[in-house]
Amino acid sequence: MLDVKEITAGYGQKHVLKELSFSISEGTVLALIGPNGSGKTTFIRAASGIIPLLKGSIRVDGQDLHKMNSQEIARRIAVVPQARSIPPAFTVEEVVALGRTPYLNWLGKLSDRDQAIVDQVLEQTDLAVMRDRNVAELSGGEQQRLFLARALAQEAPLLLLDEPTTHLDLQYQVNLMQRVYRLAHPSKLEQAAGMKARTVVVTIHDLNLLSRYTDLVGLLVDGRLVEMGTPDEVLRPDLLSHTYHLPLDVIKDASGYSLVTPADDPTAL
Amino acid sequence: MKSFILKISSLILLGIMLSSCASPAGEAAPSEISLVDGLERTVSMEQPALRIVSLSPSTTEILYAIGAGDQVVGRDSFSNYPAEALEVQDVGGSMGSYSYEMIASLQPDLVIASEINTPEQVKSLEDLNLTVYYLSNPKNLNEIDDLLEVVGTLTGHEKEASELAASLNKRIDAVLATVAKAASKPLVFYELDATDPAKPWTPGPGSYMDELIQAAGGRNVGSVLQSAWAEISIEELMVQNPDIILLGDSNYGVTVEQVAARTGWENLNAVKNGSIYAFNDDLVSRPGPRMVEGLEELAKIFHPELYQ
Amino acid sequence: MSKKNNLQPYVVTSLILLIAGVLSIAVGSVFISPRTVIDVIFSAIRGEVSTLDPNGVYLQIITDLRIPHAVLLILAGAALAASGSAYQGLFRNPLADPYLIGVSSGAGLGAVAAMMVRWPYTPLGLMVIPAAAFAGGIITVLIVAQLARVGKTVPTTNLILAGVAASAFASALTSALMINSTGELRRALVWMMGGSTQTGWGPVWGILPYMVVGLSGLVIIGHPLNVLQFGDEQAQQLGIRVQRVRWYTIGLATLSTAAAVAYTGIIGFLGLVVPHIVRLIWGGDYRRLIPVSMLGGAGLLLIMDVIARSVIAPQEVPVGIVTALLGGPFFLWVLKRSKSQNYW
Repeated sequence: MLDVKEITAGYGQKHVLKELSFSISEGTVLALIGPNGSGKTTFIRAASGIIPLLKGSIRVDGQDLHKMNSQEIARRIAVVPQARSIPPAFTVEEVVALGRTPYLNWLGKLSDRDQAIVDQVLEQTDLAVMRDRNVAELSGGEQQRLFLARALAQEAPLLLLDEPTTHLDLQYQVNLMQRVYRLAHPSKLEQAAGMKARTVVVTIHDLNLLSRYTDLVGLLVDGRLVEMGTPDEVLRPDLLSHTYHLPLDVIKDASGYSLVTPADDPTAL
Repeated sequence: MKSFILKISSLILLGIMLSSCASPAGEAAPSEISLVDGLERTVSMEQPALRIVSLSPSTTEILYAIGAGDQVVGRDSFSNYPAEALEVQDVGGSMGSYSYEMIASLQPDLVIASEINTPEQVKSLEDLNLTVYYLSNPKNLNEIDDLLEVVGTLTGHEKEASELAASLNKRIDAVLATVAKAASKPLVFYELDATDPAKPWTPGPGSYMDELIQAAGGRNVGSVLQSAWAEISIEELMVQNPDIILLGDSNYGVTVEQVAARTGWENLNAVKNGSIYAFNDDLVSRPGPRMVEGLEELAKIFHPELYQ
Repeated sequence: MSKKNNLQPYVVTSLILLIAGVLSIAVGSVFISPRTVIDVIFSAIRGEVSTLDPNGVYLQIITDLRIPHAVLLILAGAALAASGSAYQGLFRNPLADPYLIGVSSGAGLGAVAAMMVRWPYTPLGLMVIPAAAFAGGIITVLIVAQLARVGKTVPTTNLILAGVAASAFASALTSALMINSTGELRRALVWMMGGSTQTGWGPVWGILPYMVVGLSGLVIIGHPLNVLQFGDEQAQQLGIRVQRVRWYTIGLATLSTAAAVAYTGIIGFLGLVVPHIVRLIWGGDYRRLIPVSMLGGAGLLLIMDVIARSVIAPQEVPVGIVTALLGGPFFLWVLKRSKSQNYW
């Protein structure tokens, strides 16, 4: 569904992504991990059309992204940025309604269908009860969920989430990743209600959420995809220790999910 | 019958021809005034103006001086001389704009504008169907005559105007004759504005004041500057070292004591000798009859020895 | 962002505008009783002469002075308030006003430079100063946009910086011209203080085309500005063509502001304060903020002008002085009264 073919992109002279390639199919949650500066956010920018590709191409459902204008891209790709600063003069419902922008004309009037989608998304993300609240009154986790809702209102088959769990309390991290997973793997009930499986690419720092909530993990180092596979395949002690320059161990929790921990006793320095 | 009709017709024809040839001198026809004003507009009136609005203090002074004071129905805010002018309706102008409503409501038959008025203001008055005459400033003492003559014509006071012009000329000649006998010409500094005492404003070459100072038998410090109205530095002033300092800004509250107290000014000859005098700037900044009074005042200050 | 009551802001501001308009026509340095005003107007409509105004002077004052002056100020007030709102949205800056990127300093320079020459007393000659002001404003913004350009984009920070620099430069040149002039100094100062220097319908016809284009264009830019509040990147990711919106907004705001300044001088504070007042009362949704600010700005400017014309009649205080004196405190009062915490 998403075909990234040898893309090179960066800022000015500096190339951050170097001939990056991968493909994922519909209904997959791909986590991009890697040290800071490896190009995770740059990938999101390149994939959403913010920065140009110097080489290569990105295709969504077969269509070349960089041949489209921003409105067309926005209907196919929805970005969920980090909820760091939201302009305070909006209500929850208004922010979600902005997700319909790719379908509205300059006057911004919502049709009945647009409004119906907004209502549905508010329900889906459990934000309906606070639809009239000012965004400044929301907690960090709720704000992040709001940004997810806005992206959902775009009805885009591909979602890109940029470090959504950073800065969040643990319960919100888990809550968010659960939702993200369900978006790619809707239940039978949800499928019957018409919900289609989305494809998700999420950049993330916390390695311990990967095993439970993602299908594929891509390790980005210095702009290149060093390894891509299932969480178990990628979360290997040798690979991770080398990447993060730190002795790391991978252990399984009670349910069999992989967890990453430092290998040495940290108090013995 | 035919010859009778012929005679009558020719008589009638003769009568018509004669009446059309009748010269205006023989009848009391209305006199027409037609002048070209300072904006090169032709201003025409069927008779001298009876309801006049003056837009500048100098015009007001001229109107009263030639006896047309009773004909003034409106004047600008700065018109303060003679005292009778203060009784006349104020039409604005202190913040740069006049009340056109007030002017229109006075229904004047003539509005006299001057160089302090903008072309837009003249146009606005024209748009209200008012007759406007734009009076240009005289460029030197000789042109005051023309100024008086024009206003005299506009107001029907030609005689008083020419009499006044003659008496003013006599007084000017008297001053010139007197100061011609002077042994020397004092160096004079005329202060217009010293908000920044390190760089006071003074009239420069080509300005009216420059001419007046010279006509009164003095030399203007400002004549070394570049423009008609310029700043002079305190250093240059010290180099020039004027004999007399005239405070043209005394109307705004500047006093002799204040000047003597300014830093650096204590070195000037004029300050040491106490030759600092307040001066009524209205006498020399308003183009009109009082300029001659201003000239006489200057001459008395510059050459007291000739006026005992 | 929204406060419900969809029609209320429009009704309230239209009412204010209506009352202000009536006051504008009824009040002036010459007292005309309300009864006389009504009689004069209705007689004129019927094509007769009012018995209360046999000489036609009151009719002249009302139709040749007060009404065109009011219309001119309505257009100017609407343009300044709309441009101020649009710029606050575009630059995401509560201190933005219509003059942010140099249009007023450029217009001032154009006007003062034109004043240094004696133009012939002809219809064309009388248009030179407003035309020079208009051109000066537009050219300065074009220069600023060019200076701020980075490739095909014009980052807002660059625009603000270039605007500040250009304004400082133009102001310095203007001051130099003013100091060097002798007779024209006062004229230049009066123009810069804000307030119309020409009377009658001429100025209105002169700026009408620019106002129609500018105002109608700004009214519809609200939704993209809402989206832009989240930043250029997110706005583009939501499908907004950010550069296009930027050029469009700057172009229309400059056009209408330059037209206003050409005939009303530099009226400050209005474009900054009116959007904030509207925002405090009815929220910051730009789809509503811009049109409501237009109505509010027009009405408020008329009221300030009535004050300027009558407080020390027959003197007429330049209206820019009144907006500056009253604008700030009035805004603080509204701010105190408002209970909103999150209005920006």
